[in-house]
Amino acid sequence: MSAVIAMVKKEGIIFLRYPTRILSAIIFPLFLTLIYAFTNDLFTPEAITGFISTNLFVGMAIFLVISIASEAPTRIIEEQQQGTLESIFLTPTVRYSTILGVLTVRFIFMIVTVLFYYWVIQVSFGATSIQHPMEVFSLLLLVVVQAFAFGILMSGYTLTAKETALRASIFIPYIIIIFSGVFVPISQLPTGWDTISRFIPLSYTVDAIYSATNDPVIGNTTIIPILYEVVISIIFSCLFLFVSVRFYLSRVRAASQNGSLLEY
Amino acid sequence: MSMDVLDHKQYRSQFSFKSNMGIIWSVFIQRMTQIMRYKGALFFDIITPLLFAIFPIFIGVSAAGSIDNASSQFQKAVNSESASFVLYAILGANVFQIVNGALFNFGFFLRREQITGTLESLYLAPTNQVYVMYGTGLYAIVRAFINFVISLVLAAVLFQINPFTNPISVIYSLLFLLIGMLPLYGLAFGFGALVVKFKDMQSLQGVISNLIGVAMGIFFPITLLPTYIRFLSYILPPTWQNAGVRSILVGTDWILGNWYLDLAVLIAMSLFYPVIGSKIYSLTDRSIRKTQGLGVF
Repeated sequence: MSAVIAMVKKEGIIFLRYPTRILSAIIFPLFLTLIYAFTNDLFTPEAITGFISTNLFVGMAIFLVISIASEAPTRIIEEQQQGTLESIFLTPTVRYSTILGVLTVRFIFMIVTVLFYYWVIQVSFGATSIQHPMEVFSLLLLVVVQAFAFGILMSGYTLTAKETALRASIFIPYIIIIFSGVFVPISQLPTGWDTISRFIPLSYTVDAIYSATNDPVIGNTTIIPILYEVVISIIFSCLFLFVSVRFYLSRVRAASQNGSLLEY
Repeated sequence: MSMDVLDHKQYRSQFSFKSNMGIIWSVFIQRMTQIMRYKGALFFDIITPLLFAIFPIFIGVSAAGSIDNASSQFQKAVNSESASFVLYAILGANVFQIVNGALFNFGFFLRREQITGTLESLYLAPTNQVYVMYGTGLYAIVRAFINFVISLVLAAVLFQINPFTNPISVIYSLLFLLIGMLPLYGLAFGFGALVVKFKDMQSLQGVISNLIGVAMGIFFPITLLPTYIRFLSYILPPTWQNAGVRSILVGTDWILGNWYLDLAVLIAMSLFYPVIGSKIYSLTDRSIRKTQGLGVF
């Protein structure tokens, strides 16, 4: 455990070493918000207020959580390029400590960013109204677990597929975001597309989050009853994390054997 | 001045035009060979603009209530009765991907050489580094064009739109893009200076490409932007590329009202952006080599 904490500290120091990294983490959601606002403005010239403002904030928070996953494969590639990944694996710490370090640091910074943008959206687009903040927060934690699991999974893939895996780790979250109704409700997806959503477990978590956000009495879900959605989310989050760690460790073994830990 | 520096300059002056072109070609082939190893990365590059475009299309449908409402609202906003907002979004996403590619390919090249410790060695080669950078630029431009065309074909199939009704228009739009590539890569040279200076390529690229994305009107006309952002829009080459391609293929308005005026602005940018970009890069690079070394990260 202390080794993992040491890795988190190390990643924190590296993160703070580059001011551009902090700037990027703060500014990136602003661009997303602006693109959302101006695109929305093109179709509905009326000002964005109330309901849309709340959805914009919740969508952005989920988007940010999911997008931190791609940080882990990026770090793996950096270590591969520097030729230090093999050395890290020789240290007496768990093999996924580097990834946990990166994801934890990014997660902590993301919380600060989300709170900052909560304020920005309130001021810019009108008051957001989250009906059940604690429930929303708990469900967001499940999204965090899924994002960590995805980060670990893609890091394992990166060990052998390298550049392709890096692009995939950026690309796949976008697909998941579109199909799981993060910004655009599943009910408004083109006919047939909503069927795909039903096979993406995040859709159920997102649906439950929106229910807890907008519904005075939680339960106004669009896919299935909220209880099932929460159960599916919990089971999937745990299972996904377990499978990802196993996959990552198997990729580490494969990469150690074929020598691709150092190759790039 | 030490003897080895003089020797180095002597070597450089021996390079003829043909050998300089050879350097550009070698770098181009080397980069192409390298990326061909990663077929998945090539695939994702083509598919990414389509994915970006889905986002505003859904926002549009969601905000307007239906695809018909969204279409008529969009046509009213851009002042064109036949404009397709799906094609509009796809073109915006494609130009954005070209900007991303320009910044990524330059930045990634420099940063990778820096991390692997070979950037300083590369500078010891008896050749002018500008030609190495031109080779990288050529590679990025060829990839951008291939991606643009394939992505349009895929969009035509997936979204049932036809950007190829007039093949001449497609050629015009590609020419417009090509002219815009010169100032864009001038900008990318300047970005290279930032990468060498601040190191963290990915974050820098994230900030700058998204800033350009908003300013160039990735999914919306720049007339919707506040005046102070619009000023930034006008000095960025992608804004003119984006508006030009859209005017030709979608039928929206030219920024200055006529194609030749927009083209004149792009040509003017082509004259000074590459010079300014190269100058900024050379100055930064020289100062870093004197103070800390290019291999430091």
